[in-house]
Amino acid sequence: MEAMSQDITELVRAAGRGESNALDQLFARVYDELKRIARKQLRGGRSPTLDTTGLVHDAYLKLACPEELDLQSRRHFFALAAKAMRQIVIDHARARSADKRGGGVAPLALDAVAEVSAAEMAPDQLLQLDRALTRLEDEQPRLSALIEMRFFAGLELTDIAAMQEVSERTLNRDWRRARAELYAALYP
Amino acid sequence: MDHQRINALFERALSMAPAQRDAWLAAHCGDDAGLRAAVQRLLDADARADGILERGSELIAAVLADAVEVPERFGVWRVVRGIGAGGMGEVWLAERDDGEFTQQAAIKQVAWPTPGLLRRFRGERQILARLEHPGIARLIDGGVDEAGCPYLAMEHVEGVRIDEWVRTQALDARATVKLVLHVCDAVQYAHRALVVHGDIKPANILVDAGGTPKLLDFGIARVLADDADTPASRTRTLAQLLTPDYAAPEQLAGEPITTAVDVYALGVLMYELLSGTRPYRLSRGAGGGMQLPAVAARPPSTAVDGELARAPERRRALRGDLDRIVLTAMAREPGRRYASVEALASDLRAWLDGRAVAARGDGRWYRTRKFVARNRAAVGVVVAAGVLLLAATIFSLHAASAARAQASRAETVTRFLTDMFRFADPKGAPGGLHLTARQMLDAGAQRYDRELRAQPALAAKFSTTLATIYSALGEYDRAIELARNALKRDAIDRGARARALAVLARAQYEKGDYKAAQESIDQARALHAAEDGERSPSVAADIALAGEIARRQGDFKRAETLTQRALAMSKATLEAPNAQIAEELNQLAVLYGDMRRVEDARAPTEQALAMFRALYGDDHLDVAENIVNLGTIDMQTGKVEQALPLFEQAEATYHKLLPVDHPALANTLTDHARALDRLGRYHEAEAKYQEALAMQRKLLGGLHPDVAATLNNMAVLEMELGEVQTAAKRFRTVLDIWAGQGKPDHPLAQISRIHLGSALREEGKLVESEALLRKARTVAQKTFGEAHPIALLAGIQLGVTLRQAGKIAAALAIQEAVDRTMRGAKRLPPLFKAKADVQYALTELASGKLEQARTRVDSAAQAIAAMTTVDPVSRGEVLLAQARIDLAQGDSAAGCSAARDAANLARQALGAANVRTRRAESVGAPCAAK
Repeated sequence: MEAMSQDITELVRAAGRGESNALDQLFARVYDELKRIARKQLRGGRSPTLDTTGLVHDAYLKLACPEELDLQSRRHFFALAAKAMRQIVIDHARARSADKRGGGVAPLALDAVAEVSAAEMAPDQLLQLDRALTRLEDEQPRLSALIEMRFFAGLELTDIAAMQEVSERTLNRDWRRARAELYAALYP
Repeated sequence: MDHQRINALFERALSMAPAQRDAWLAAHCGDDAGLRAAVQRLLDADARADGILERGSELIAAVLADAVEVPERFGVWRVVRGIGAGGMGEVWLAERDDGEFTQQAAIKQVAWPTPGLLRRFRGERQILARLEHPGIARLIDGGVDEAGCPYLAMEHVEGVRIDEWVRTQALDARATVKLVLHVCDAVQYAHRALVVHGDIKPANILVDAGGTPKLLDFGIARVLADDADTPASRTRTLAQLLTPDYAAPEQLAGEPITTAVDVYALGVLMYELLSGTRPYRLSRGAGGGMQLPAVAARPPSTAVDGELARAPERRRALRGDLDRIVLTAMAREPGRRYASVEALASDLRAWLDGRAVAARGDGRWYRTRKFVARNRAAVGVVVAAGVLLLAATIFSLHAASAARAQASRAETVTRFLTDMFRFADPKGAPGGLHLTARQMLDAGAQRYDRELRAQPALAAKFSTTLATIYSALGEYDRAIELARNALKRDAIDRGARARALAVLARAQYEKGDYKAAQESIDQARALHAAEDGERSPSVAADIALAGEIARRQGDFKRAETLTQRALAMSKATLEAPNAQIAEELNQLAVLYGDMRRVEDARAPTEQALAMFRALYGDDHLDVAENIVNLGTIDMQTGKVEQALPLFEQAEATYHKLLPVDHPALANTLTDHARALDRLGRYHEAEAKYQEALAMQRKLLGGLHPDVAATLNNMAVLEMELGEVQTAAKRFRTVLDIWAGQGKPDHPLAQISRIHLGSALREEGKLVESEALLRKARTVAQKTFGEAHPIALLAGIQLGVTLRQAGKIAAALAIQEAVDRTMRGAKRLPPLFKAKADVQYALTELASGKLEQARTRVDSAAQAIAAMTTVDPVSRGEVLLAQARIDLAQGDSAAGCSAARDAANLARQALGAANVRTRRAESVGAPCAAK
């Protein structure tokens, strides 16, 4: 059952070559691992707080053998981990939102934020974010991937820039645009 | 829609001021209203400062907050129930049945297991398991659960958190300090075993029903946090693991954990226990790490909060010494904290006993007026045959000793207050006999105002006297307040006003407020001149203080003028021997020391010494300290033989007057050992080093840089004695200490690393030696530049190793490069230069350049002959090189004679059985055969 890091390395490489079977397997592993670590983190603290950056990094250390992955594979891994994280979060958000509201999602006004606690708002807000992100994904996939990595995987722009081998300036620009696109979609 | 176009316009628009955007957009979108609207939409969204994207982890945590599963067992441990959760992870109470009896343990699971953790844990486990102290919860076991996550089984302690205990038991300040002393005791014990806690905080200290505190999680922070290689990732790990409120600034910055970190945490702990509040609120810094606020913590006495705030005596109890002890322990720079937990504990005990404390609130320990900055990175040159060695040297001159000053001040205080109480209350103060001097002083300070209401002039005088005493005790704020109080009174006469101003100036100067001090002393001087005359001793004392103010500000020229003038006036008006004259002489010597005019410091030091002797006799700390100063001057000017008896004498006095272990004594012992070393009295030097080392370890703990410096010097000595393996081992210990201090490339560590390279060579491990020295040279050149003695030393030693490995050309190239650099280098000690030349000559000899070798070795021999004190090993080394070159040139008469001399020298200094003696004999062996 325990994933050997060699497998993972091979899986990442295969996924990088576009083998969809490998991609699915890898996604499943990362998904499980992230979930496990997240649970551990959450039950450690007094109030639920989460260090997403640490989480994804820990999954990376746990699953992959860092020395064996080249830059390209690392890039794949983190992009994938961000997607997996997004999936986990959205799955939970869906369950919670459905629990409370019987499935329906009320439209979200910015002003309402102050009145309802973050925990109550979170599922719906995240679902809205997810939908906006999916729309953006169709039009500008690079920007939506950037948001995934930043928001769900907690990666710093500096780290992403290094991984993607682009300048921080470029990435900052991308981020500002991504952010504007998303907010424009979310808060019309 | 054309995203590229929209994006391009959006970016350009962002780069200009919002007011200009409209017109610009209109111009560039033309009549494409859709395009313009799309860009405008993005610009509007961008202006939204805050939204969902900024709250990622919070929102994600909220939806993921799942039910926590309770595991059934951890290895042999069966989980009974959950105890709680801490920064490190969850904690469970668990039991182990082995048939006969049941053992309980607290199982801690690490929330963030990292790859290196298990390996490190196994490494540290043995050390941790060795910690057996009633104040430390033991580590029982550790392992990995089914999912592969490591856990620790610790002794289960039934008790309440220390902060809760202090609150529920309503402990007063004294009882709290006593409780903290128990904690210090446990931490001290661990530090001696080379274990740092790294995460001391109330949650980690439980107090049992009997009132005994017990520390949990010893050494765990280190196991957990040493992981990351980079400061940034270490910071991240730490931020997750530690309660940042108790983490020292250097810890927050991701630097490795040292004993100083525990001292800091103990300071914060005391702050919280005594005042009921935490000193800081931490904020998140730019890099995501936690950081301390820019402002320093308020003294705990001014921060008293919660239930404590209703008891006014708490503020009083903290004000002054306890404030200072706490703030010293939690100073931001590790160097300004107590050097060890021992030192902190000893101050707490002093406070309990009502004795004066060492903490002065400004990080200075002793009232030493330093002669030459006690800079342990400063290096001098020592010597050894075949190898050239640098030793750590410590030069400083001291003036009035803290210990002495404290003792006599305590007496003064007692006498003054006894008188005062008698005056105020003829029947004697109630319980007066049981009051400590300190308590009496504080009581007096509170009462004088009321008691002396009818006599304002007298009240002003008392206020000034109290200010003098508080200033002497290092409580400058209080002294300043009292002096100002005196100055406010109408009834104060001119003379009293001048005195109060002088006291005020002294306190301001000690506090480092030089501008205010200068103003006060100028006023005092004017009044003193009017009252006592232009050339009176009181005016002289004011001028002397002005000189000190100038010296502290680095204006040496003005300082010299003023100090000389003050001295001349005191000499003209006071009858020698006189303490004021002696102190001003000492001040002048200290000034010359600062100015590096070491030779000029001699005369005033000698005069001050004679005067202190005439005043106090031989057994006095002022006398001893000036004797040490004189010895230091001798050492620095190469008169080692003269220095030796001085150190002996001072040492004897210290032994009589100081506690068994004292920093002043430890420093003198190391100076003394160095002198013996330089004189070639190696075995005596070794014994002295041992003595100093034992004392330093007691005073400072085993991991202190001073201990490393002494160990280095001892190892250098062992190299001289030919005990190469022992020396190598010791150098490695030194390097471990520096690594543990988080300063693997500290100048002294670099020196020890080079020495280790030399030791390896002498052991015959030439490959290792070469590798180490090459690396050391690169590091030294990068850190200090190539002309620095440490870089040069690495080059010279590398040359010797290469020569012995038979790589003559490479050796020669390096020696040439070193020689060239050395010619350009300023202020290199002549002995260093001469010894380098000897090695260069030997390499030239090996490459067949006999003539050059001859010239070089002869000039080195001449240089050494001109020096006053050169140890026998160095002299033997030159002789032996000369002998080799003579013999190679076929001059057997000269060669044999030189070899014989070298062998004799070695036999005398080191004994017949010593390696060096035998080596010298082997060079001369062909001669004996003839």
